Amino acid sequence: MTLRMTCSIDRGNFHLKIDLTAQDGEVLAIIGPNGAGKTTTLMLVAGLLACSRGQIIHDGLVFDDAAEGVFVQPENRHVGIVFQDGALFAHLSALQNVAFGLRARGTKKREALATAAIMLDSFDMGSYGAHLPHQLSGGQRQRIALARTLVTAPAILLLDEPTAALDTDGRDETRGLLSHVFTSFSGPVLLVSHQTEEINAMATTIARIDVQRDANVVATLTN
Amino acid sequence: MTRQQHTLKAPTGIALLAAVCGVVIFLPLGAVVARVPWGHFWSTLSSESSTSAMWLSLRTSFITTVLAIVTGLPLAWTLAHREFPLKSIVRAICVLPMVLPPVVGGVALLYAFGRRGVVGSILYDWFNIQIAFTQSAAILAQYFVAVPFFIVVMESAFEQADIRLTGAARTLGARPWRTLLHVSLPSMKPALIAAIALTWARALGEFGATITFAGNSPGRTQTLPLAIYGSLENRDDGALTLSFVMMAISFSVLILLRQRWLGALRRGGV
Repeated sequence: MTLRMTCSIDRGNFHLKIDLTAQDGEVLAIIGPNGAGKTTTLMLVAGLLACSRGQIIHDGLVFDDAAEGVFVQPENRHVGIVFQDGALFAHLSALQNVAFGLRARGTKKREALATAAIMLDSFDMGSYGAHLPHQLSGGQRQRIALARTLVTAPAILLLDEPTAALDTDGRDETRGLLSHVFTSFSGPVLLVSHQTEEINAMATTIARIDVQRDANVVATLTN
Repeated sequence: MTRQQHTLKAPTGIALLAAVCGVVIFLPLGAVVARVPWGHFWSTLSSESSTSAMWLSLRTSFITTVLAIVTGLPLAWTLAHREFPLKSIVRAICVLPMVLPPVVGGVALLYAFGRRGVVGSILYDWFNIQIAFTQSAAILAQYFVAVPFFIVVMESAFEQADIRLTGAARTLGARPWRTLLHVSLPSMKPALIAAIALTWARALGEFGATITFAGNSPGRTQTLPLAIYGSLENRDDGALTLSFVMMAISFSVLILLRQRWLGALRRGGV
C-alpha cells in the first residue's frame, strides 16, 4: 500500500510543494532546515491542515483533493502521530491516555482500559498506569505517546522529532523502542528528524526539503 | 521577597504614589467595614427583604452563568477557530457591553425585548409573552453585561491552546465535540475557572441594566445591588450590611482565583 502526496500548501508568503511517495514498511526520513515545512507535511497527512492544491491518496483512498472538495477528517484517516514532547493529555493518567483512542472509537470503558493495560505492559510501562504525565520522565512520556498511538492500529505512523526534547538517556531509550516498533509496524512511517545518527540508524529512505528564499519562501519536498 | 529585589534602587517617590493609589482603594472599603452595624447585622441580613434579594441574586446570577457557559463557549470557540466575513466587527460588538454604560445596555434591551421593542412587540402580540420587568429580564440584563467577560477570556484561551493536543485527539479518533469536551476544556481549566468566576461576579453585581430593563420590584427583580440602592434611599443602614456581604463575596472570588487560577498559571499548567 502506498501513500502518495502531490500537493502544495500556501500560508502567507510561504509555499510548500510536496511530491512524495512512501510504501508500506518504508521509514521515510524528512529532513531540511527549520521552518521548511517538515511538521506541516505531517499535519497534511494527518488531516490537521488541508492542501491548497493537489491530492493526498493512501491505498486508493483520497484523503484530500482540493479540486474535488474532498477532505477526510483526521479521525477517519487512521493516521497516528507522535509529537516531539508526546503531547499527552495532562489531566489523564498514563493508562487513560492510552485508552483514549479506543474510547473515542467506541470501545466500552472496561474493555478499553484492559486493552490499554496490555499495551502499557508491552511498552514496559505496566507499573506506571496510574501516573500523570508530569510524574513521568521524558522517555517514559514518549513511550506512553507511542503506546497511545499504536493501540489504535494506525495505517500510517507519523513521528515529529520524537527524540528532540529528550536527554541522552531518554533519547537512547526512545530510539531503541522505535527500532523495535518499526520491525512490527506494517504501514509507511514518516520520520521528521534533525539528528543524522537517528536517521542513519532508522530511516530506509530520505527526502529533503529544499528552500529557496526571495520575496516568497518556496520549499520543495520530493523523493 | 529576596534580598536581590531590594538592593537595586527604586525610582524616587514611586512608593509615595503607589501608597496614594492603595489608600484611595482601601479607604472606602475599610469605611464600610468600620460602619457596619454589627449589633443588628444578623437581624438585617435575615430580614425578608434581604433574604429575598439574596436568593434572587444567587438564583439569577447562577442561571446567567450557566447560559453564558452554554452559549458563550461556542461563540468563543468560533471566534478563535473560524474565519468569516466581518469577524473583527462581530467580535467588537460581542464585547461591547464590557465598555458600554450598563444603563445604555438596559435601554437597548428595553427597545429589543420591551413590550414595544423590536422582538418584544412580536412576542407580546403573538404569544402574549412579556419579558421586560420580569425575572427573565433580570437574567437577560445580567447575561448582556456579563457574557462578554466569558467570551474574552475563553477566546484567548482557545487561541493559546496547544494545537498538538487537539490534533492528537482527532487523529486518535475523537470527533470534534469529544475533543472539545474531553481534551480542550480540561487543558484550559484555569482559564475556564477564571472565566466562570468573572462572569458570575459581574452578573451578581449588575445594577444599571437591571433597574432599567427589569425594574426594581422586591421579590421579583430586586437583586442585591438594587436592594442596597433602595436601602440607601430609605436612609436605613441595611445598605452597609448588604454592601459588606457583597464585598465578602467578591473578595472570596478573588482569593479563590488566586489559589486556583493564578496559582495554576504560576506552576505553568493545570
